[in-house]
Amino acid sequence: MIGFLAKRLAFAVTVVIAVSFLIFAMARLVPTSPAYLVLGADAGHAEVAAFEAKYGLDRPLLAQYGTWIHGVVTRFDFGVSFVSGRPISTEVAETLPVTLELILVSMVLCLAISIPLGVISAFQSGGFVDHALRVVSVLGVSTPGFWLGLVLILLLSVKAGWLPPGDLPRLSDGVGPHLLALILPCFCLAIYYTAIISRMTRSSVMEVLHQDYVRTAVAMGLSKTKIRMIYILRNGLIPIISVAAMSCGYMFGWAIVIEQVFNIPGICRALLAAIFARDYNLMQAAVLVITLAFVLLNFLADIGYRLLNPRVSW
Amino acid sequence: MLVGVVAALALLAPILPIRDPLALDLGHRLAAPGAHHLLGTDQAGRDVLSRIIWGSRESLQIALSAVLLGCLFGVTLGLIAGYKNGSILEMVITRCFDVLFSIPLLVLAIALLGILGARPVEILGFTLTDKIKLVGLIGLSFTPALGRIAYASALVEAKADYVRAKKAQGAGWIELVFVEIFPNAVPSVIVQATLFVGVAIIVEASLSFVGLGVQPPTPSWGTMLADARNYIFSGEWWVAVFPGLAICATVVGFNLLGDALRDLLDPRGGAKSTFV
Repeated sequence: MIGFLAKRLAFAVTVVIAVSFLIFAMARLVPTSPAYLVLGADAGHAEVAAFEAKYGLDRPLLAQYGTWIHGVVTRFDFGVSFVSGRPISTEVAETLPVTLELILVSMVLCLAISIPLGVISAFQSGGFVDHALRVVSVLGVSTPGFWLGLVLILLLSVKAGWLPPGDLPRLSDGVGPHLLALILPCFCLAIYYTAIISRMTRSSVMEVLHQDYVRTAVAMGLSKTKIRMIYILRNGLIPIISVAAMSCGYMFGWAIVIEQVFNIPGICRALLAAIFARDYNLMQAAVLVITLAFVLLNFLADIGYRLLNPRVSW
Repeated sequence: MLVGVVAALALLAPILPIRDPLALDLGHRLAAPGAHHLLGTDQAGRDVLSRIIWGSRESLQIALSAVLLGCLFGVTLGLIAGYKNGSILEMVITRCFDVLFSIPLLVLAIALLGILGARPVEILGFTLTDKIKLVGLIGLSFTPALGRIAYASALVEAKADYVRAKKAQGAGWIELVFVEIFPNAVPSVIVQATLFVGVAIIVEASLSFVGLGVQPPTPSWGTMLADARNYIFSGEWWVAVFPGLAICATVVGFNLLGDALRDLLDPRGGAKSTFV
């Protein structure tokens, strides 16, 4: 078990370093120096050289990367944004919790809908819920979340005026408006994985339904509820936990679009803004943080699956 | 069915009796759907219906090329890894798949598209246009999943009697992998690839929507929705609703096609629904 954890951890660290180095290197290999962004396009050679020397941009790539990653790991120091001039760690500290909240609430919403739906359609396979789920899940994986967002803003915000069309008021300004503003973005972010996880729940529970130990339990005369709750659900829902954790990771990608649609000040919108502003320092920091979260979630998914499922060897 | 209709519309776009998708008609800006413009016009007076049909060409072209690219890389590597079971080559290839699986590829793709910029860039003598960049990155993100499917079937088939018989007759490994094993891996790969076309369409639309994909004025579903975003507050709903419906219908089509193919080709249900 320790060996497995160590191997898995080493792999995760390697992946994070590789991805962050790739982005770091790509951003540095772009022909135009960020100096022109800050100093203006008509900056003289001497000014550009002075700027590059100040931020260490004239040093070898590996040395730059080493300094940067060392600062990140030891001091949580991502450098300074070339555009706003603020330390990027502040920017990350402000925007990351927003995205984490968005994704977490979306995942809770997703599981709250998909697990009951999947379980019911497995228990009553061929019934009404099962048929409805089939249709809804095909629609769910086929609807682009950002477009659903536009349509729901149109219907529920512009026409009906029930929900705010975007922006996320701070939690300190009142819990009500904050939660109200979360409903639409979370729904749009959750719908894709709701469709997928409900189908997975269904097939996972169906699989358990025909296991020998369930037949034994029936033969022993245990009550239907007891069999369903203890024997079937416990085993049937194990795979869902790792799928849910991985889906949380994938949600960071979709959150880029959703945060854009709903104007939510999260790290994914900051990443997109940094890309368009060519603020490479902020961009590489955002990619590093998101990759870290993604890899961590995958790691937890793996560990969780093995902890809950003793049949899988370490 | 749905896929057939969309494909036919896309292929026939140049000869269909529809308006020019780029023709500006400033006198009829944001006209509501009606007899003159069936689905209305956008902010520059361009016909929405015709832009949707022309946009389907872009979407399908990019999505299909991306999936084909993913198949090309994934299946080739997966088959070789599966056949060379126990070799270093197998370890390297499966490790590469593992690494690609544990990266937030969509985020990475967005960052790379951002760095490469919207304009065509030249790298090593190749000119990378916006579409080639999209196809390459989306295709790359499908490679590990398709590769693992091919790998799994190659692992099984490599031990089958017919392959061993061919080997005894002196067939080389290239022949064994691509002539003998490949046809048996096709069914499960095709099912997954069909489902991926739907995913690719959504990814392309999302990337174009945030401004990193297909560049205006080329009509694409994603860029149309990006423009439409500004008009949902002022009541011009048709510019936002119809391109999205087109995406939904097309992706539903590919998902249903994938499910049907699965029932037909792969009764064990090997391929899984996926997420990027």
